[in-house]
Amino acid sequence: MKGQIWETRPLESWARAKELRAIWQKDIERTDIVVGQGGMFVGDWQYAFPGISVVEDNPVGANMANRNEAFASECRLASEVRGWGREICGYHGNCWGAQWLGHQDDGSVFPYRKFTTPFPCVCDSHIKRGEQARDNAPIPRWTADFTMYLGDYDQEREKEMLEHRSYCGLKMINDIERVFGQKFDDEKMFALCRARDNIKQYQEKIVLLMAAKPAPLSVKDWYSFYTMGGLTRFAPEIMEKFWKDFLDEVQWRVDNKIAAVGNERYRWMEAHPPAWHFLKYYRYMEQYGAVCIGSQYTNYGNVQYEIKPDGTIADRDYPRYDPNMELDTREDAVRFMVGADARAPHHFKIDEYTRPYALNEFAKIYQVNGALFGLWRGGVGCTLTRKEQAMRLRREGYSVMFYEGSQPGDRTDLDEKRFIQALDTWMESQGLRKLTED
Amino acid sequence: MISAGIDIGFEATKAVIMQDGKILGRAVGFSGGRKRKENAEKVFEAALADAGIAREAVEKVFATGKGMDDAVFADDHYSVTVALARGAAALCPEATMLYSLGADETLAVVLGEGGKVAEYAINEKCMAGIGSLLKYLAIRLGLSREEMGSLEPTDIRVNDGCVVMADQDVLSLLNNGVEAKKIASAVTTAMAYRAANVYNEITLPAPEKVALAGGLAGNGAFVRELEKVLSLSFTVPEDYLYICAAGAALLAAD
Repeated sequence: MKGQIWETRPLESWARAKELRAIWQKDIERTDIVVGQGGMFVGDWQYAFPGISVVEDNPVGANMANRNEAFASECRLASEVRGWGREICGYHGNCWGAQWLGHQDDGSVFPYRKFTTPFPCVCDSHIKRGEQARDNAPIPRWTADFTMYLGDYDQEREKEMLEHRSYCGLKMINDIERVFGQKFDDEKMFALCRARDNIKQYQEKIVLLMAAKPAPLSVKDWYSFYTMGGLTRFAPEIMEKFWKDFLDEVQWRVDNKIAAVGNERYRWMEAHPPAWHFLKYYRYMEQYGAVCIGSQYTNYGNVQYEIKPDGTIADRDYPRYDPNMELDTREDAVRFMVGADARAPHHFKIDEYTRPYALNEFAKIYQVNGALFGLWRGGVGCTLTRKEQAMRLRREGYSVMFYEGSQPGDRTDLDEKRFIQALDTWMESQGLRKLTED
Repeated sequence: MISAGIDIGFEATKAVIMQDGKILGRAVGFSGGRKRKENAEKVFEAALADAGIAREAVEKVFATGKGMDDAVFADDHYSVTVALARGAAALCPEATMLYSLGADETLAVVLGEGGKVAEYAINEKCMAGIGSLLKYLAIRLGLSREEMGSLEPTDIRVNDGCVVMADQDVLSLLNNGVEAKKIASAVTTAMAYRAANVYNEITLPAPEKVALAGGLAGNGAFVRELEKVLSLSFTVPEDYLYICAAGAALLAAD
């Protein structure tokens, strides 16, 4: 590698992740189970239902964009002609287009959904998750209300919100039992809760380890892992072991200064999901020795790190259920899963502090030099507040670059050549040249 | 050392030959469509001829601009932002900011020490093509370059959302029999508003001495409107067209 400064080696956890991912893929293609859409909680709660699999359309759509953009384009067209225009999330367009075409990109039958449980969102694009499945067939839908308020943090209101969300989750589980004749295994759910909490702690440690220099993982590495045990379903003991092993490996890499990118000399961050159909821009940036160490989306999904007054880095204070609470009843388990705070899972979208201000803290914690923000027209990467955040970062001395596109799952409007030229401009403005040219 | 810089823009290609920080020769020509590589070669040869220098005397040629890859004879290339900053350090050293107003791109650069880039902002897609619009508008309205540059202000307004929307309004105004110069003036003002957005993106502006570069810097009416919108006064260096090419030549000599 040109300009190599650090030792680097492939992740050992990668092989196990591929194995598990292949198992999950087979699992969701089964036809003897009830397939649902969405996810009431982050985490594979449906594991406690013996014959149910729940598939979230976001990762399906993102995968399609990455794997087979030609097919994804066909799917989006199939969505558009049915009234789902390009302002809607590209993930939806990809996934539900496949539904209307009747097959997946490998030709296999599309796993038609029997119900939807979209997780709540403040964004009016995302609350439409799963509506396309209901356009296809009259299937039941359950969803929790999205709870939020403006103004100062109010612990009593937060508790009420959590209770309300818990009620919605409990009703959903009880209804699924009745409608599909499936028995929810509470003991499995308790095991899942405990495993989920441990997994969350391992993940929190790993994302903080990514702040080390050199970064042991780049965000591109993280994309291969971050859905494991959340959006992808496995037995909790398998997932817990996977994440513990992965944490141990990342810690070892930090202790031994093993880098994700051997020529790391510039660290940058993002805020949103990337252009899934154009992930090559990460490798392109590595030609400059520039590594992306994460984003609000990847690193701050479960945790909102901030720098405390005493200089330590820890999670933001939220009211939360005691992770050691007794789990005796289904209500206990549901409360536990609703969990850490009432605005889960994507604080960064709606928390009035996290959204506009936390990127400055992120930049300090992760020791970045610059930031790359996508200006997307729709979908999960909403552009709201990104220009203001860029101004705050620039005032602190960080360089910020923008690029434009439709949204992460849709290649329309992303001018790839222009994007690459803009990356060159950005890197050169930072005094860097491609290491291949040294 | 004699070095050369070539700036292949959306509409125009500019080339300079330099030695010890001074321009020996310069040339500008149409960038072209299918014949961009040939046109780049022609402009480079014209700059050599203007300098009275043989090609062999040039030790290095660096290219810049959107079409930099068309300069197949170039030894290396740099982005416009970096070339502009480097060129400004030599051709307008007292400038604190450079504001480049081109056919396709609008760019603001806060100049750092020694020709470095302290901060920069480039137009988004909706602000693209301002210079091109004004050029082709002039052709359609039958106005010369000089007439476009000396337009009087007008009360007529067109949509300043983007060049496409402004152009839509031009058609309506023509249909309603509005005079060509007034239409051109309205579009000039609208495009000045669009261009101003790029300046406003800069977080740490340095308005003490803002120098203009690019083709629109030579359009007096546009510069006047931009000064009004931003409440600033601009400096237009003598070689405003060549600052970027000069920057490339200086980077080649560095």
